[in-house]
Amino acid sequence: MSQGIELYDVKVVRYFIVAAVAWSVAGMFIGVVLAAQLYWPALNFDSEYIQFGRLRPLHTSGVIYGFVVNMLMGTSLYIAQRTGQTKLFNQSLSWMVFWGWQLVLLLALITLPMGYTSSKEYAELEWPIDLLIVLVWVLYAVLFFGTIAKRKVNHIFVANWFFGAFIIVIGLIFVLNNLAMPASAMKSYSIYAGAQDAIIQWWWGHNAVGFLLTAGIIGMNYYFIPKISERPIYSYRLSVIHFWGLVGFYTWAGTHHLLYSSVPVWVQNIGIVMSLILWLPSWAGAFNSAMTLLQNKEKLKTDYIMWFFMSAILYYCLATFEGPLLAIRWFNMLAHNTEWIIGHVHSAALGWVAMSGIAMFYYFIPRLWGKKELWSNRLLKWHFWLAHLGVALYAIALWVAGIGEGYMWLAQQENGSLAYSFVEAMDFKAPWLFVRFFGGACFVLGLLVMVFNLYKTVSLQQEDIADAK
Amino acid sequence: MLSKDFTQSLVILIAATIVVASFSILVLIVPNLVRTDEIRATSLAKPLTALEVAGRDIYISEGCHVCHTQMVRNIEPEVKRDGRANKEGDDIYEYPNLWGSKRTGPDLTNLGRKYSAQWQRLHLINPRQVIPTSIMPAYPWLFEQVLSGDDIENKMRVLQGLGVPYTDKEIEQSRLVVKGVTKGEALVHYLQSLGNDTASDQER
Repeated sequence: MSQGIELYDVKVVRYFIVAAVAWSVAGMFIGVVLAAQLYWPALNFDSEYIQFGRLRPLHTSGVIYGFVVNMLMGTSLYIAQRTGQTKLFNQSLSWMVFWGWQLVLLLALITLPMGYTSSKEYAELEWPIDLLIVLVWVLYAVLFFGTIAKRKVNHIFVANWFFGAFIIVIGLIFVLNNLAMPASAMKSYSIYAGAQDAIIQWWWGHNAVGFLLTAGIIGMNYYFIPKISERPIYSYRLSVIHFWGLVGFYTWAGTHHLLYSSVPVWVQNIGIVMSLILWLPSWAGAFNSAMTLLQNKEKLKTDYIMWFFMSAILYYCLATFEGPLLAIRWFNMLAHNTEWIIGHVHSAALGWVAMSGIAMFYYFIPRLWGKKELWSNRLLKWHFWLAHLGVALYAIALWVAGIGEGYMWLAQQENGSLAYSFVEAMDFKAPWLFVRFFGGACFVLGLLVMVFNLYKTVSLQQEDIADAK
Repeated sequence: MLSKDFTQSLVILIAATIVVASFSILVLIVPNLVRTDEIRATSLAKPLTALEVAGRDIYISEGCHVCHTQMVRNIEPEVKRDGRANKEGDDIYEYPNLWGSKRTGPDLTNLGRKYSAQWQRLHLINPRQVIPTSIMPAYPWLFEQVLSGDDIENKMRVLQGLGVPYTDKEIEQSRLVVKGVTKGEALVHYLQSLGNDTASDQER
């Protein structure tokens, strides 16, 4: 790989990957701070700038736009080159995309704590930054599709279909969701009101998950899983089904966030039905990826990077099982608005997205810098168990907290009066929120171990690697 | 070109993805966007006053919607706890919606009928003074920072353009109404308005 590397534009890929690592730590660290604030409200320090309500969108934006988008931009530009056996479509364009995107993130880091927000979940940034995002996104689309168009092989590799869908659909729904009338330099009002606004918002909100955190990551994995397992993709036909299943059904499912709300029942029902259908392509795709890894059982026995990928797939199965379940009416009645939803999101975000990213970092970063192997496999093992302890504690704590409070909100005595006050439900879940904080902290500690390990790997000479073992 | 499929032709891949993915716009989004008149016909909602608009923007700016919902579901215990369930017409002047997605704190849909303004002030300055185990952040600065009112006319005019029936006179007077009020006071005004327009429409 290291000889071939000069044939491609890798410098910008390295920059993207470093930015992704940095934002993964920053974004998740802010998450741990938020978890702590939910247990110790004094940690808001009565400060305007770091109170929970303003920090929370910075956490989600940092992880989604900082960690994940940087990672997907970097890997997609690399994979488009490798699988098309061509250089990037345009080098200066690639630097404009890189620095443009870092500017978006810098502006998010400044404006969100200052209270500039449009309030739309996962699209909180105000209108001037939204315009910049759209501009950078269009440049990125031109760069990616231009590179695919330049390819020297006839076939478009599977990973690129998913990256393509990720770029197209995110662009489409981001623009529609963020249409707003500016009232001043940093304040705008959505052009949609009330129930209509909610339908659009969850059409976006659910597909930020569907096309950014799912299709994009799947694209990345369809390249790196065959690479690490040294086997081809298990079933090409399943890949095709997986792809059209996601593209065809995911955009429909967003309205399951609005069950029992005041939007028309038929809109809610479409969300339920489409969420249930999504079960099939999700598990078909997971099966495909898992079988690709299992084709090389010998390596799977010893290689912790393989384990990270396998865990990511298992968490994907868990999350895509839980998702349709939570979209069913009676389940939704109990779980809606509770901590359970946060647990569900994080078992996917930490288990599926972050573990896929971590596996990619461990596999890709040494090779991207021309190194043969990791500095320390023992630290890799430590990270693996820290990450799993973290996700498990996180998920279990919020299952208990969520089911508990959901039940307490709904419970009625025989005469019909409410069995618990809201404060009683809050007090019940407090210790579990501490467990969640601890789980999240374990996960971030694991990330720091990774950063140290990868830093050592990249900065040491090859012969030093032999010594370190 | 047509002899190829999406695995060989970039044009087909892009076109097919756009068509398949945006089918939901046609079926799900467009029909809901054209129903505005129908929804308005059933609505009891009243537009917010200038001071309440300023308060709502502070609610948004501080991220209150991150932890509080404004959507009472039509489920018996929920209506008992939080008051009348939301109807589609209730939110026709809500640009954007503030239904929220997480109830870390209680639902606020009908908050305006529950507490006094003085209780709201105490609670915002230090939530633990009134609810000992509350995990809500304290917002003391809201009662120190004073609104200039410079931007309220523009805001009202944009809202008017989007469909909120403000008169030009209301808009012209808005700056004087808002100027000199603390952020906290504006927020309390907004909170106290919640649910009052639909108070006459109790179902349970």
